[in-house]
Amino acid sequence: MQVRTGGLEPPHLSVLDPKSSAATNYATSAWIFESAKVLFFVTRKSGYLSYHHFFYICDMKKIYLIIALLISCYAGFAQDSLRSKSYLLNNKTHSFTLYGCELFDGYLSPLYYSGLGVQFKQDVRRVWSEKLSNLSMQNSYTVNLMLTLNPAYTANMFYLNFEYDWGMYYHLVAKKNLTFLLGGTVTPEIGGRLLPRNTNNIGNLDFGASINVATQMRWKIPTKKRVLELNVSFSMPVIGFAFAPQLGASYYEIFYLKNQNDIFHFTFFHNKYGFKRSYTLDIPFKNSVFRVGIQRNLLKYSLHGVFYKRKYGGIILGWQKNLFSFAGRKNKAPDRFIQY
Amino acid sequence: MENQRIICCIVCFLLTFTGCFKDPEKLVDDPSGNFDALKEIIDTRYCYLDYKNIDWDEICDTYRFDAQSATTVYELFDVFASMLNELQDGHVNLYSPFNTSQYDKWYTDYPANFSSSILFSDTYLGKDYLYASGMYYKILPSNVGYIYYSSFSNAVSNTTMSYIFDYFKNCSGIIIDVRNNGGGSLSYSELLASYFFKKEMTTGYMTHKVGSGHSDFSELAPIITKPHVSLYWDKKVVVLTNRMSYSATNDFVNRMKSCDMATIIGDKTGGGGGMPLSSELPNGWSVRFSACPMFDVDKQHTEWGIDPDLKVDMVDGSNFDHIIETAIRWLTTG
Repeated sequence: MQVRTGGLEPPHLSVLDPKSSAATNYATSAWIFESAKVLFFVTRKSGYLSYHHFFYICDMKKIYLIIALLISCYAGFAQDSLRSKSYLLNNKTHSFTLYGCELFDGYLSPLYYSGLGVQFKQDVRRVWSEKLSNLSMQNSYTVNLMLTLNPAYTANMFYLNFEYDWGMYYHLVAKKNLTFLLGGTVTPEIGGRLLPRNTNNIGNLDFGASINVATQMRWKIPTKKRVLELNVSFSMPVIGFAFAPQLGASYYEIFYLKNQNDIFHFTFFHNKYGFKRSYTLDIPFKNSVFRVGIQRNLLKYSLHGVFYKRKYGGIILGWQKNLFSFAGRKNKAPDRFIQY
Repeated sequence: MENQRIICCIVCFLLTFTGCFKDPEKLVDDPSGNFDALKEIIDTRYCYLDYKNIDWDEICDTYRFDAQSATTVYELFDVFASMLNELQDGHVNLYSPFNTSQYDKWYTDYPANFSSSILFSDTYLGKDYLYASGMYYKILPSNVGYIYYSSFSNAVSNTTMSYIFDYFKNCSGIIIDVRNNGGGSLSYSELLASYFFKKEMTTGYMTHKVGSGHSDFSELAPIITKPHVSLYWDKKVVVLTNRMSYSATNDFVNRMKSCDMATIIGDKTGGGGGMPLSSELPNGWSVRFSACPMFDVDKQHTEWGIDPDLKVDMVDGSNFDHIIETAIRWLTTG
């Protein structure tokens, strides 16, 4: 802090100007806050000021000002206690994956189809609550689109799928930079495969839900410039249900004639097996965190003796942000936030 | 220590179930592999092997050598087409990039009972007919409404039907001619039939295979024809049929058989009572086959066709369509 020798007031007092901020309420509290800083400066650093300077500051008007500052400072501290409220940030990751894939749908064809696919995923994670900070929850939405060909390249199979994951994890800190997340997810999904050249069985619905076990390893790797984070995640379905028509049944019979016997099936390890595995590295840059990685997913199940398989693996690119969202009547944004 | 134990437990748990599933083998794309795939598809999924008393194993044994010794894809295609024609089913086809096989004896071995030149002569449709939603229609001189519907692939529209019924409102009855209509969508056949039903009726049944055995079928599911919510033709209707009335047309005729106001006139329909599904061979050729048999209201198969209420054949060399003439007499004098 520098003080002018010919001195009136320290130059940084100009920050007291309430016009310097667009939002009035926030500017007021900033003014109070900065006033307190000045007061603190004056009282603590007065040793650096000359006797003459001290009395210059302490003329009557300034004394009133200081009293006013003391009062407002109290109010400022009272307001500042609001700032000490903890906000649970949402760790939001948007990722895009390009992958090679293999599809098998015994209802549509006895052949394996292979091709390319894309995945877009939004993954939001946050700590469960301030008190239960070793628990976290996850919400993620995934869209997959696959375009595949049969081995002879004479027919296309398209696949579109929407998946939602809700999960909960317990954080187990193994070492200083190493944390294991153990938990489970609930995953409803809906999608469909389309083989347009077929007659009457041109498509097959992919509908079901599963409860999965899920684990994740987070390893923080400090480097010279930044702290990288390696994530290894794994999940697999345990129990659930799935829709599957019998091999000889037509959708006309199921939906027009409403013969819907035996179309939903309980799934467990005896008829459904799969996993989702990913290895990602989060790299913090100046204003953002980028994610790169690879993933490999497999799901196969056999219902009514009809086999289904979907396998894909590819490269993940993503970006990550930490956000807090204000919404609704109870969770209003504080006044110092400027609403859209 | 405790943490490590927990992690070990989880890893062991996950590894326990890894690989307890076996994937289907990838089919081999050579003459033998394709032959075996075709054999398997028909053996496990074709629905009429027992009903038609077909010994599929014997057929396969007969053609196996020819298939395995085929040196070109054209030869292989011909062998497979011949095998499939043994099923005597118009719903069975083999599709390749260069050819499509089909069994056509369900109509070529029978009288045509249809002449488009007579139908479009001035005696009937002439040149002043109306056309909408795939339907050619006109009021014939005997004050009978006439509709020629050539394919159930053309969408049946409620709006169009309301105009047609309004156009025919002063007629004594209507003729719906579905001769040479090779089928299309079952939902259109259901919709077209619904205009002539006053109350909901079970008009047939359907089943499907539940296993690989030739007689492994599900319980019969009723095919119900409901009356249309807003349109109802309350006068007499005649449906004209011939051997080329097939598949979805067969289904339409089967429904109309149960309609009080309808009479079926003409030749027996061509059949095609099995709803087809598709599969494919390792070489990429597609196979279509009957998979879900349909039955009439008496739970009898409709695969071989449906008999008309009044059997009429056209007379060779005549300039009149005797089937239409019979229908007109039926509507005007009955």
